[in-house]
Amino acid sequence: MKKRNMQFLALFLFSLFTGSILAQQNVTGVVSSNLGDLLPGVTVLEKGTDHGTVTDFDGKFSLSVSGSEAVLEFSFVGMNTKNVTVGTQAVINVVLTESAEALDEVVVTALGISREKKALGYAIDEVNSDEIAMGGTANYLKNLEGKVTGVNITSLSSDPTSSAFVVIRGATSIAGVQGKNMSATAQPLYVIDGVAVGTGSINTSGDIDAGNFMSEMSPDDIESVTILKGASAAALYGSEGGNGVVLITTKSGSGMKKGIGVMINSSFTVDQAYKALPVQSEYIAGEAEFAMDLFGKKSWGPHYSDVTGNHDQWDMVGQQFVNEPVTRRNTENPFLSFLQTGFTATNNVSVVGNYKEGNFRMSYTNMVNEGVIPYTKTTRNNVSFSAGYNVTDKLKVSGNAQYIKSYTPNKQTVAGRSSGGVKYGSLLYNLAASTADKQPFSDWTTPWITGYEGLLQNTPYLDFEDYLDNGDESDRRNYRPYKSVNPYFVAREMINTFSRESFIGKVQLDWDILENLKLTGRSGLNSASFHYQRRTPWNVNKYLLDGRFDTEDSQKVRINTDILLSFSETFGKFNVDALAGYNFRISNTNSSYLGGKHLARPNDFSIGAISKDNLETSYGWDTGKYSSLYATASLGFDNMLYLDLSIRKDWVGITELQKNSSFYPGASLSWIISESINKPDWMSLLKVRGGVAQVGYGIPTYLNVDNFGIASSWNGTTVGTVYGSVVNPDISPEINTTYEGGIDAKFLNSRLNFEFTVFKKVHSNQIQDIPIVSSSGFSSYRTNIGTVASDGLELSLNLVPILTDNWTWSIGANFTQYKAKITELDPAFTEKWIGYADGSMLRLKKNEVVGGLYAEEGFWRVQSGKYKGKIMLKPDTGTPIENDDPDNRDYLGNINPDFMMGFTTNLKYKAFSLNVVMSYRNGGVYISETAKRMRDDGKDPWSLSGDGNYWEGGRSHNGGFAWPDPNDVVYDVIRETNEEYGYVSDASYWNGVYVNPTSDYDSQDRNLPDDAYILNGEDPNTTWYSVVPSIVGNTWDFPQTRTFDATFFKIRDISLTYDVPKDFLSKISMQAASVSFIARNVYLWTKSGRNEDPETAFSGTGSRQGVAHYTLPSVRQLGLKLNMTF
Amino acid sequence: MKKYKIYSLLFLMLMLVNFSCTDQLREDELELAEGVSQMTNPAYLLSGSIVNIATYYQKKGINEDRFNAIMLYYQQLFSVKSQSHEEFTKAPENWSSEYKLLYDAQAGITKAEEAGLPSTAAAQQILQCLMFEYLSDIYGDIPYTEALSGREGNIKPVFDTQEMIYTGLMKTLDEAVATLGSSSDKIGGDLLYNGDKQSWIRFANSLKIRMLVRSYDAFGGSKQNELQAAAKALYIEDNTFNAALVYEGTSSENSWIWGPANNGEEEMTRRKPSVPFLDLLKANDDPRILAWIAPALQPWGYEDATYTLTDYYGDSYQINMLDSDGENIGGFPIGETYVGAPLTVAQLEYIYGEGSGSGSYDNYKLSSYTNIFIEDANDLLKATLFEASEVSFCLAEAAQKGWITGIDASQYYENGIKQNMRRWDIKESDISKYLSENLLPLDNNSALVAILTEKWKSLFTQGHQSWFEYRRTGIPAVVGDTPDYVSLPFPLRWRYPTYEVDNNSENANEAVNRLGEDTQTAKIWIIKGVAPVE
Repeated sequence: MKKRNMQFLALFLFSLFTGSILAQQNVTGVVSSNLGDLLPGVTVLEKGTDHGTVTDFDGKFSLSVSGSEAVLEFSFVGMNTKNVTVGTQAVINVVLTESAEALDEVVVTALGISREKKALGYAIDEVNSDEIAMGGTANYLKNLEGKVTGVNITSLSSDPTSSAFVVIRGATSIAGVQGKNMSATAQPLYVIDGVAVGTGSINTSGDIDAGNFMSEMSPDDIESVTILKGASAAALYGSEGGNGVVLITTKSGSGMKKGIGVMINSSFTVDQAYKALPVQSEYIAGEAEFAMDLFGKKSWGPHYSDVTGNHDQWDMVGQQFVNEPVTRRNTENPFLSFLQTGFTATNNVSVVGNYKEGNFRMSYTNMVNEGVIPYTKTTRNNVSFSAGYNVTDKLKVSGNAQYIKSYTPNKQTVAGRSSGGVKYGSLLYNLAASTADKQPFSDWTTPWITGYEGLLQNTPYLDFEDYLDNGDESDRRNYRPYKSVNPYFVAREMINTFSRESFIGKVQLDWDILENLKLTGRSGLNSASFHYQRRTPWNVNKYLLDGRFDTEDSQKVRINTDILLSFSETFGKFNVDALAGYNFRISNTNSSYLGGKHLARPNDFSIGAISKDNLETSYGWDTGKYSSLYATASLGFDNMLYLDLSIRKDWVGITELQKNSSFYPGASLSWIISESINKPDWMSLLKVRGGVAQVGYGIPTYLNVDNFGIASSWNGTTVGTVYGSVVNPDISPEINTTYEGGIDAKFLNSRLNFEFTVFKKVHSNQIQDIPIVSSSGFSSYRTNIGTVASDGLELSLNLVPILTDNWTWSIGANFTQYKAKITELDPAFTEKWIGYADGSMLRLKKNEVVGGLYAEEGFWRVQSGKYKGKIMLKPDTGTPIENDDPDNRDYLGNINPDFMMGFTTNLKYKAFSLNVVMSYRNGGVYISETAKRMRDDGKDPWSLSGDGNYWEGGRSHNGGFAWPDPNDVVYDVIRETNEEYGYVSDASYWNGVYVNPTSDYDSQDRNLPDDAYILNGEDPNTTWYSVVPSIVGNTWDFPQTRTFDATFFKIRDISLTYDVPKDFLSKISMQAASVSFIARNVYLWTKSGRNEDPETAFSGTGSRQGVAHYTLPSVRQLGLKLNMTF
Repeated sequence: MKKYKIYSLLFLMLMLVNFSCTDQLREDELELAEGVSQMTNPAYLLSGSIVNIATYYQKKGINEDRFNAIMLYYQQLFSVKSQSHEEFTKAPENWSSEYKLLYDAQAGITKAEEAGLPSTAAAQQILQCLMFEYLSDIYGDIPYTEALSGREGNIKPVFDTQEMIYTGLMKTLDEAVATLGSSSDKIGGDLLYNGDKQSWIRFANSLKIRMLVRSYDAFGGSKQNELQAAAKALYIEDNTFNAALVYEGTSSENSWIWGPANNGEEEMTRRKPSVPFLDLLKANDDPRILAWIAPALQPWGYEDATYTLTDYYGDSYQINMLDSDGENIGGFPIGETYVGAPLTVAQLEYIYGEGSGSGSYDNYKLSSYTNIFIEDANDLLKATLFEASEVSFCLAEAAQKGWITGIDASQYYENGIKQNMRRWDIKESDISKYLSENLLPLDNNSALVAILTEKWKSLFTQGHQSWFEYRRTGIPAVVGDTPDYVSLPFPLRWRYPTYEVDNNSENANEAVNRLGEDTQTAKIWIIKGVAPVE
């Protein structure tokens, strides 16, 4: 839209100077697009002459031509040029079709500089406003999914309001190898309208995804998002740009139709969870088949059909203990029946004005999301204003401002088992655990026992009979709330509230000092003020009988000022675009925490309710100051060879001790072959490009000295402390060097476009705190520990197979592959195993591929003979021999994909347009900790039958081995053999062998003759029944048994749009109107066959990338979107 | 007008730039903070070392199973004797808290020296010596000369021989004594002695006496003159010179380990005084039994009975004796109110049976410790580094063995008992009564047994020293008597921490080669060839 209008303006001005030309024949007509738009500004030229004109506002033209042989050429940016022979026609009405892609596409690059894409020596991806606003999600970053190459966008959860990680060309930080959140260490820099606002778009508080202003901008306010992937593109941003840059250009009034316009965009989607892990409902709560426990959370009890007689139970509705028969557990899926249908409603109205003297745009967006988790809600209001004023022909001032207020009355932790370190479990964990035995979830909605609101939770898992009888406070304190929590109680009473007010604004001055010399001054400010509180009521569980109250407040301010001088000149065949600038940045962060446990009164959530001894407080602030000088020059030769050079120098820190400067160079070259050869007709563009650039992470110098503090006092005497870590005195800044090369090609009138990039990213001198032996006096040593190099390739292909007046069909596909490897490691730290998550480990080792996971404890397997490969068991317990030998750890797989693909397709027929976005991930693994918990609790249907690999048996009613009759002789034998582990319920056992204990062989010898081993399960008399559940190790404790392939295919978006024809709209004084049906997260296929989105393993708020842990089931959004322009 | 507009816009931009300058205060604050963090008063560092080392030392002295359970001051209800032997087969993960204390003292020494406060530095050195000696006594060879030099870039220090460590530490102690005697600066932050240098000299000399006695045989008797000299110098003769810190009891850090501030009751109640310990206290009618040991609250008796007992400090205990029906309760004492935790699993299980206390941790069939031990603070509860009784017993042993001459061993022996009883507030009349009526005589055959058995009793709450001495002397023998079911030999050291072995392997392996093998039974230098314990 923007480009087209700029072109129009230029041509409009040009037309003012065009005098009338005498001719023999006059032709008039109207030019419109295939969508029915009347096209103003279309160039109409009689071929071979200088007769020409442009169409007016209503697409009309009038031109005198030399005769009937004359051929008129209609050309317009973004449209295919059309030739019409005049013949005898006096009126020629022309319909232009949109071209696949314009050749001289202009893109926004670093520092907000617009450049012709063909001149760039590096890969860049741009997503425009239509695509961003289409999805109907509240977070525009999610709408980039599947559309760009080299970028991995992962939503923290399937909640439509959740945050998203953006990782460009893979994480290369060894911090990730060390178990920190790999995605969090690889976040790009966000730049809004030329002003860098910071890295990362994730913010968490108390394990709650609390969003971030960088991702809270209204999708309706965004003109385009450009992703600068390599260091070449990002070099001008210094250290912050080391992981790539996300450039956001907001909408403005500039380039819009002259005069005033009003736009209304509304969307409404219905959000519903549609895919959740199955939960078995055949077996009753209990620890074992013979140990039913209706107040417990485990479901290892008897089969429902085997239970007779009356049993004590808690009646959730009657709120009393009853003695009744036990009925079968409700078969509803607890996840899906608990989650409700939510909605997301977004309304945006904007007013734009564009005049000769200047322009403005005002916009207001309101977003309301009612979560799929009951009692959760998120609201957001965005107000933005931008204006430009042409003071003189040569001086222009502009500015914009956005105010975002988001308020979330309640949001729940979805990932993980604890929240803020408090072990009351996440909502969904409790949910899986809380499969009621007799009552459907609809009976669970009352969180408190009537008459004891704020005091006694209504849940079958508690035993508070004494307290109900006599009301004695000590009985409340004595009762043991244990095992689990009513999920409705968590959702409704354990409230996480937060709000954020953000302001992003800038002022800019552009002064054309000379025709080829321009000065730009720009200062931007962004600030965010965040308030968070969590209310944990009395009686959550036995650890928090008196509740908790937590509050957090933080403020962030960041100011960025740039002064840029740019120069542009053509010398014959050469042209130079040069720029030099100075950047000054200051940032400030404050945060404070106030809270504590033991509230004096139920439902009194205030600081006053916490006694002085229990009050916890903390306060922190951080301040930073950065100055940089940078310069870039682009030398072009004959529109076919471009050389870009850039340099930047940073000064970091505030105090003299910190001051540190670093220098980064970059260079790239592109050669448009198609301009230098006699290109064939079918070729539109052929370009090769290559670049190399370096970005340093400008670190402040860390002081290699002791720090001292005051700890406390002892009988009035001040007591000091010593702290501070050791820093290698020769430490150097981290350096990220990117090499990239590629080919861009366009064929057949740009109907077939192809871009190919290979890159190598070398992230060297990485600074890490490495644990060292404490006899050195310290626990860690900060030094440059090594290098990670990442190789990758990106491929994108766009094809327009059908292009007619009425039909347009375009297909886009992209392919991304990268692999990061530790290529260098300080020899002092080689071969280190690092505990990761959920029984897995990472390896710090040269040549190790980043993301590889190993099992902390491997299985010991037979090496030869007929039992080769079988797990070896301990002869005295029948459980696996754990193998923690570092040389023999089981490799689980790599959490990174082998490759990723995205597909988009767009089919237009007249005013209808169908758009589909899909993505495919191939390879990689994830560990499901959810499986571990659900198996441990006996909820996973997996527990019904053996897995055929690690264990045999399963529940007796499902083909497992029935427990022998107590009168059977076998019963006694089994009891005796397994006496120590009297827990044995189902006759299940590890599928393995053990060395005959009566032999002299070593019980760990893996190379014995076949007859030395006894196959567990072959003979009941020699079988160790200890699998399910057991106190001596379970299959699910080993991550090997629940590591799954992360391959998936998703249909992310489908939208069907109808554009109301312009000629109809003009009758009701409207410029444009469209209505769309939108659907998001339509379909998910997983190779593992699990109803668990593998992507959820790569989100979460903690460090556990690659571990899925009770994340929200997949949520599908269906809805309508309406756009109107007046 | 136009120009005015331009200027006002430019002004606005400048304001934004200036906004950042209003943050000058922050920057000043940062510079100040950085400056301050480089300049803490050496006195604060001394008080820090005193508090941290003393509380650490005391915690280990009362609560570490690998000292106290093995020395039979208690049995863990869930880990009777076989388990306490087994504990030693596992290597600790790390010794980071110990080396952190050593480093903090080192930082204190450096700061004090920089500030021209040699006496403060000397005090830090004495504390550091105590910690090095403690670590070396546990493991044998440890990083010493090259330790604590991470700042200089040595992140993998070599392990020095224990002989070298002992020699070095005693030299350091001599130097500290000399410095304290000659310098004129004041010692600030001195929570132990309130700046009294003579007391620090006593502390240093006492530590040296302990080390000389402990290493006497290992040095092959070559340190006799030094020991003789140390015995004549100033040392901790009586409790007024004890290196000990009375707990304040206002926060978990400054409260007694078993007090409520540290949620210590559970820790205490699962530790029960052992049978041999109680037997010995009972046999000689030792008044300390009433000071330390609380009666069983539900012991077995011949009939149901309820009565009240009072401990030495006046706290009373309600006893509900249960009728045993005349049965022989698994050989368990009947009618006794001071019932020790037996060393055998079978008996312990039996006691567990019916009628045990409320919950698994507590067991009312067994004695516990008196109520002062579950307080946060009490005048008698001290984070102790060194007590008068220990020096006296060291000298008594030395005199008895003829390592020092001039004073009769019995004087030291009696003083040791007296000082320890006084330390626990035992009345002078009771002390005299004990000394005159129940004292084990120092006859030729059993003099060492008498001295070292009394020393064992007096080292209750100082379990580490007790174990260090037992390994060397084998007295009292009951400690090493192992019931049949205990298959593992008596442990003589801790295995090297796994983290150090894994990450400083070259140096650790060298030390292990000198030792033979990194096991709990390998004999470290100090007991090599001299230890009677097998």
